[in-house]
Amino acid sequence: MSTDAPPILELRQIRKEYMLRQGMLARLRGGGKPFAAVDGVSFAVPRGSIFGLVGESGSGKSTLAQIIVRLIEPTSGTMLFNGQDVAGLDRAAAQRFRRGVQMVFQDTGSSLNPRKRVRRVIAEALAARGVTRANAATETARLMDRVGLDTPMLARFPHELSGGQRQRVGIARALAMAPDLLVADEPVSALDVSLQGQIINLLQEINASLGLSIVLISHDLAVVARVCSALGVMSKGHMVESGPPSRVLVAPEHPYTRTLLAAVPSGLKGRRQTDRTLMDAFAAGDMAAATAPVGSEA
Amino acid sequence: MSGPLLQIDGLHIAFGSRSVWRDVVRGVDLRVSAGEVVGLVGESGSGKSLTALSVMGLLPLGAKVSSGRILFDGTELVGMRDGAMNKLRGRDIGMIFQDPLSALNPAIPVGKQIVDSLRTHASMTRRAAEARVVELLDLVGINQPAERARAYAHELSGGMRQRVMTALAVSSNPKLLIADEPTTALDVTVQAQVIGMLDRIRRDLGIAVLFISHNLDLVASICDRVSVMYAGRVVESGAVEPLFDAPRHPYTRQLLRCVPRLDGGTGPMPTIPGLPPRFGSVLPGCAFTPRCVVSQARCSAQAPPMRRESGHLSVCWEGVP
Amino acid sequence: MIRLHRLVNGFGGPAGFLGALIVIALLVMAVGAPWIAPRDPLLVDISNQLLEPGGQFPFGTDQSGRDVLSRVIWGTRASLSVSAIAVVIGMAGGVTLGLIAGFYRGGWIEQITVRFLEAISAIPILIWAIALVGIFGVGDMRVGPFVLANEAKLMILLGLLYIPTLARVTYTTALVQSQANFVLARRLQGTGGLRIMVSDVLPNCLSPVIVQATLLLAIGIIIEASVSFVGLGVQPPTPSWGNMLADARNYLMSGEWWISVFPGAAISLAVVGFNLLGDGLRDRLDPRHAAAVLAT
Repeated sequence: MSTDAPPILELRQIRKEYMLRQGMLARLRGGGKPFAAVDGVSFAVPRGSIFGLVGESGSGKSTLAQIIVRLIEPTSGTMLFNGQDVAGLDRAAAQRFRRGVQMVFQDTGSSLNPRKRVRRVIAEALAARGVTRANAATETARLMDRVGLDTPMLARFPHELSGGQRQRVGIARALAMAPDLLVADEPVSALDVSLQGQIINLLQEINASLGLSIVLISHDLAVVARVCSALGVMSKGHMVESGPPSRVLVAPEHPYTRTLLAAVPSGLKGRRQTDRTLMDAFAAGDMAAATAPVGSEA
Repeated sequence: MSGPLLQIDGLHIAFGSRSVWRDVVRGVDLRVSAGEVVGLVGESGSGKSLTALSVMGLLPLGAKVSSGRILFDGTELVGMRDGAMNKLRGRDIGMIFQDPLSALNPAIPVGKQIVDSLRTHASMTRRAAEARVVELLDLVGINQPAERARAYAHELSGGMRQRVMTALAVSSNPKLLIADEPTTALDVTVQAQVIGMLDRIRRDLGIAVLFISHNLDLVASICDRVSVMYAGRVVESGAVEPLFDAPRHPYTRQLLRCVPRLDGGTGPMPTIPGLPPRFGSVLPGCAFTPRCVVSQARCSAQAPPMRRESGHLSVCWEGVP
Repeated sequence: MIRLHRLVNGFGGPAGFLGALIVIALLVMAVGAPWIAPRDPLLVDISNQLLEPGGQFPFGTDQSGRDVLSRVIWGTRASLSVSAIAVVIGMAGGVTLGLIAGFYRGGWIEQITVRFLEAISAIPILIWAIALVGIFGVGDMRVGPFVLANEAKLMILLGLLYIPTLARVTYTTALVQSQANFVLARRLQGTGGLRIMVSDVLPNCLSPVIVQATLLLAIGIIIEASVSFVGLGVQPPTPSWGNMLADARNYLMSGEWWISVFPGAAISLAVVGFNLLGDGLRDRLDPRHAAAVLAT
């Protein structure tokens, strides 16, 4: 892989508008105000890297994830995959692209079909990629080993697995498609602290050993800081700041990033130093200037 | 008043039906003194929420207190009749939940709900109650309280709802507020605001708080004392600073290392290997043994001793000759 | 003992279990009528007209001397088959429509289907049934090369009328299930819509459909009885609970209570049975209930 290879993914001025729901009459008149869930976002993910997307609910990061995996089409903007504009792809190439970008979901109980055993979940993915039945068994065993699950788990239903195990199955399902890019949408936010590290480490291992590029979406700055080589901070549809964590999280330039960092509970250390005053400030609403971009709290 | 405000002794809570009951909370002791903030931390399935719900007499269907005592202000709550419990619940103990939307009536303006509660519990006149609502909403940091009082729950943001819920919970001047994961569903900036608000009202009102959370950093930032639960038992408890500075139980130590930190460096994240025991499975010794980095031969077979040093309790064989 | 307990819980508790027992008993009667019924239900015997229950005729005889017990047993067959086949037709149509409308949400397919279903549901099924049967008459009906007997016509009509109800139940669930992440994952694999609908969405929509279908079986029995009572349904001499009641109308005041009470009781029992079973299944298949069972 040469250093001047194109980034695996590049977004240029991506914008996604939704029509705000108004009364029936207004809609009939063709009215309705457009609302930009994602507003002119540009960034690039170098091949083989982990890119972090950080933001709070309503920041547009999940819409962005759906655009990247092409579940929804952007209103305007260009998306390049491996240097190629995905909008101009013919049918076959578009299909190839779609299989090359896979997603790992937040485990909210709906990421796996409750009526399918693990074996079938993996088998369906392998079949979709065109793996022959003869090769499927060895491939399944390899994937299970890859994500750290024992083969007896193949006979289990999702409700018979723990949250961490379900997330491993979700990762195996994505890997079964042999993707070039993995979009992980809040992969650990539903897991207990003691298990989060296991899944994050697994994603890091996969990135290192397979060279798989990953877009990691998370609200947890500390997790992103640990594993990403670059990150973008989203707020109200905009990417307000981006760069390596050593810069963005150590010397943030945008006030929203600073607010976000200040809001992370810092335990005992914070209790002793700044937290008291900071919490008082939060409680009293003195942070108005800094929290203004959040907007939700009047 | 002598003795703690809330005293839980040897609490066992079982899940099951008819013939088969399995203990999921297995002998919890807990004290909350007047005006004190006590944190109850643990991961999912540790029994922390069930413990809190049992204080309110709100255990889910299929769960019951199988043994133990819960004393509130000297009154035994286990086996208390519903009528007496309701009275206590509304007046002396308030509670806030993870999901305030389900706890607020969608069809009644939020201010009116607080008015109703005030008129029931404090037998106030309508005018006095309405004035008090504005005070309460102001207390929990809601701007333009008089206007917000007329809003419906769905018109408010998540953080606002939690503030309203808190105003409702403290409207009857309770002695104890139980907060069960009050910020888990919120964004971090909103979480910081709600925690700041809780910290302020408990200092303003001198109310005791039992704060249930899975987030160690949150607990460390607002609690006076902490109990750490694992698999239905308290494994360590003590004042916040010594507990977080020098955790004595291996579970607490390992868990604290897992918390992601901004200055945590790069590379693999620390983890606790293995999985927590399945809900309600019976273990003779210490439940953490299979995942413990300092476990010994006796750990899985014999229940570990409770050892207390200057108020700091640890339930572990480590260092016992 | 524990096995019985499990079995009872399998139907959502004692009430649901009782419902299941009633339904099973009815099924046995319907299928086994030729062997269970003590006499020929059509055998007219003038010498035994209007006999009180007892002796040879436990449920008595009717105005033509036919054995009421045997007619009630054979009537099970007519009543249940009309009701059951109607539900099968309704499920085939309703589940398909609901599934498609829910899966392709936001499109014109959804709009048209939902509006159409709403329009039909605005009028109660019983009114529809009587109106339609009235329009099409009671005789056999020719549809191209096929001749539809009156019972078959009733089944099809009722089945068509069930479609909106079952479609709506399916639609509501399919709408939610189609948004689930496991469905998104399948779309990312490039799997076709039809395949995702059948293999991922449909299986997760069936629980509420089964509950609704059970309740519709009860409604079907009432409708069959009502339509036959006014002479538009199952035609004499074939016994059905509805036309037996119609025959008994003339004897209500003259004291021959057994002619009306036994078929009437059969209708009530069947309706109660299906309703108990439906409610039991609802409890059993409710995800919240399932979660509570899992936790133990």
